[in-house]
Amino acid sequence: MFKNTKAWSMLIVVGVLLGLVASCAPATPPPAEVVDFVFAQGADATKLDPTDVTDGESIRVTTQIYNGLVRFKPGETLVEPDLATDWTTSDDGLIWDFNLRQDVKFHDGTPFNAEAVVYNMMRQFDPEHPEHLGTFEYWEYMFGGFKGVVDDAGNPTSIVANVEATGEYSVRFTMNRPLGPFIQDMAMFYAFMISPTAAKAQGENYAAGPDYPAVGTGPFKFVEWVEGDHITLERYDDYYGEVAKVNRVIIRIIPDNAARYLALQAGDIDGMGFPNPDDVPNCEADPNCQVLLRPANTTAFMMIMTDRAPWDDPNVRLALSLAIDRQAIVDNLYGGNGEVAAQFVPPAIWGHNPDIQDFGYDPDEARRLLQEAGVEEGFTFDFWYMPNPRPYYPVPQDIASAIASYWADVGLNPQLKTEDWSTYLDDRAAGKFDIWMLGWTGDNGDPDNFFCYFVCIPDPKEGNWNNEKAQEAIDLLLEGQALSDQAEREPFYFQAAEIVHEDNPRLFIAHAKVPLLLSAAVKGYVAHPLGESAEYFNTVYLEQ
Amino acid sequence: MTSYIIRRLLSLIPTLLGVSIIVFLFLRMIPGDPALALAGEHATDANVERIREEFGLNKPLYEQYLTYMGKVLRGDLGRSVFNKRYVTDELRARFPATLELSACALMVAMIVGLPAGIISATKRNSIFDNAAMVGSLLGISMPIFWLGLMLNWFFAVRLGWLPSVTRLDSSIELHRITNLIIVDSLLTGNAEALLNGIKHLILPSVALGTIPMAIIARMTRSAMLEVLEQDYVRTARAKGLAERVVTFKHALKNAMLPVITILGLQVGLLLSGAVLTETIFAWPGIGRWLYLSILARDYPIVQGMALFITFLFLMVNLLVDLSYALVDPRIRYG
Repeated sequence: MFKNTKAWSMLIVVGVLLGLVASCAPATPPPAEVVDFVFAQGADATKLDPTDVTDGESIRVTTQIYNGLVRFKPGETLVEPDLATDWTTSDDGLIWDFNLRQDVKFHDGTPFNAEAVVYNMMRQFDPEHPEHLGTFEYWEYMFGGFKGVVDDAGNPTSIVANVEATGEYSVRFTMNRPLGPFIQDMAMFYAFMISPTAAKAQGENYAAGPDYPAVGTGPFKFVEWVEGDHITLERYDDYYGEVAKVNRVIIRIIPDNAARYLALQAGDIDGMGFPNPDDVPNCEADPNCQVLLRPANTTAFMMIMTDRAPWDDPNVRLALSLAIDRQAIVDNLYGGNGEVAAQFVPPAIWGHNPDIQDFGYDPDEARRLLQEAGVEEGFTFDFWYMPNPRPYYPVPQDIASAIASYWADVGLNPQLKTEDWSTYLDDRAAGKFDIWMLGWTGDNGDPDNFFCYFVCIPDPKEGNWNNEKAQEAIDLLLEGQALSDQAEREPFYFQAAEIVHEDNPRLFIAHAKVPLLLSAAVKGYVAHPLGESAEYFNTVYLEQ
Repeated sequence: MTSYIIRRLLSLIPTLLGVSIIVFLFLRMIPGDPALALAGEHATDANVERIREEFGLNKPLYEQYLTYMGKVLRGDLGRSVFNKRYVTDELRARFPATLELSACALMVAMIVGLPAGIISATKRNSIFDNAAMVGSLLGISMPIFWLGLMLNWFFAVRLGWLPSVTRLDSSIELHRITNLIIVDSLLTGNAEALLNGIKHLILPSVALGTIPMAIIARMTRSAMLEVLEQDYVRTARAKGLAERVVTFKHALKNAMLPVITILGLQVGLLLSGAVLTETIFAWPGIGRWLYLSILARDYPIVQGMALFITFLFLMVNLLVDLSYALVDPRIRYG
């Protein structure tokens, strides 16, 4: 039987074909009770330790697993209680007392209490702590430094002096100097609480990979991490807050924007960020797709090296600004999701000065100012643009080309240049650029975060803006930073914004509303100006 | 043969050493500071300096190299500057995905390319021959990126027949042993995962395998045409052997040597093509990971991957050379 090789060959071919046909049958749908919310992002998480990451991809996942003492309200940058029930500040702003919830356990059963809070804070703050094993960049960046580190004058660089338990469920933060944005900072991801038991057990590898589970108090528990592919979280039924409506959250990694959108159209995912600008109107037109816009928390601007001619002349800087038709750029290159910027702080963030208006588009006046300043026709300079899309510059090359053409129209000769991101940051820090693109995405919904980083320390990477007006602005910002009350702080930011507007050390271009694309079946997703660090998936559900 | 294999394996050492020095030096000659890239836009000078200290980036070059090679000899390829995970752990996690995809792409290329080349040669200047050669020209010319997106759009979005991304549906549970989906499905007897994994493999395998398929078809045709003109083939026909026997038993075996050489070289093409295919289909392999590591100046990843890929290439070349002896009994290694 079957000595005939032809018959064998036919049998094998038929068998393979049958297999392929069977494989094309629709996949068995998941059991009715397992409902997943699948969200795709462009890169894998680097780590699931919120205290030791800076990338949005890691932060999105950690926001579902952990909680902090306070959190940002859904959709707003104001702060509300979370693991803390309430807090008070001393009159001098040097003491912050928090009362804690008493009904919370970490996912591994470890009780949440003041001891856990002190452990978490000192783990980052104290270099002598046995689990101070990361770089904790955000703690250093937001709070100024670690315990025991002093500046040239011998003063501690850290805003925080000490953290201690004042009871089983009460904690005190003592400050070296008052910091108005402190409560906003405490709502950020780097202040999330991790299980001390898990942190001690895993040491330097805490949540560093698939074999090191992340343990928090949040609405979702860590289940699985297949590197480069997906991270699976499942609902934590004993969550003290609003228990999640979906069973699982799956974060898929799909690097290419176009491929991500195809996956959304194919129904393989339920939501995604960073779409190609062209796909946003396509989604709007598709009944199976919906677009959510995050209120703008970004500012795109041009940096100018103000310590060299001709850019040290404020009228030349004004001319550069007048030459650009920002509205046309926003209308054509931001997918309809931007608004013209005239200051650092976007409209959605308190501290935005509503009296400051864009200079407008006036190429004739720009030409006149340049001639008056003695800038010759055809003046050549390098104009550096960033190589990769950022939330504030979705298509940086196209935007740079548009700006360069506006400047060419008023008699300048900008030479467009770029290099890869790593080198770009390096050369920027070295003061190599005259004019370059940059931008900012706010961290904590506080105007200080938008302003002080770019103004308070004049150095090459911030354009060396160091004249009288700069000093005036710096003094105002430092005063605003030291107060605790928002109403008292706001006037300082308004005045600083006016000074920046008069002197033009930056050319503001646009505030970008970041679009999210979701399946039409997704409900309960609340977009937040701060993005992934404050978008909570426990309110999300799918309506079939 | 054994002594030949040993000699070839020993020759790996100077090659790998040379590659390690070249990659090490070239990486450091490219502008861009990995410490600054890691610290990012929030970089403070103290932060950047601390990162340099942590990864030894502030030491002299020769010291950095010797430290690195000392670890390599102990099996430690270093840790990623960005996520601090061991390079070997990352390779173990990611390489199986690329291996599985590349193997399936090569299989697709051979299953279609070899028969197409054989038939084109035996039916020279026929409609099939002309169609096959035009098709192979198109295959070589089409950019993988475009082809992948088109396949994805047509079969996944328009028709809904096949999935658009990744290796397995999120609803499927599979215990990972080797991290090769097909192998793990068979080992665990998970038929659902097996079928689902095959479905996910189809589009990326076709996209990645198209160029090798075209090259194999053309090379097979060319080699077969040359062999079919030989005297011994004419003699075989004159002896009254069936055409099928002449083609497969006499001609094809002798035409295989250049085809095997091409197959070995396709490994390089598949690995480089994998970067684009892995991007389009969100395939969690080493291709895109290496590309991003180069951009980010993640020195340990790039150095470790360079050594690994060089080792892979050399081993594939060795296997190709050894397979010549299987196909052609006149070839012997001593």
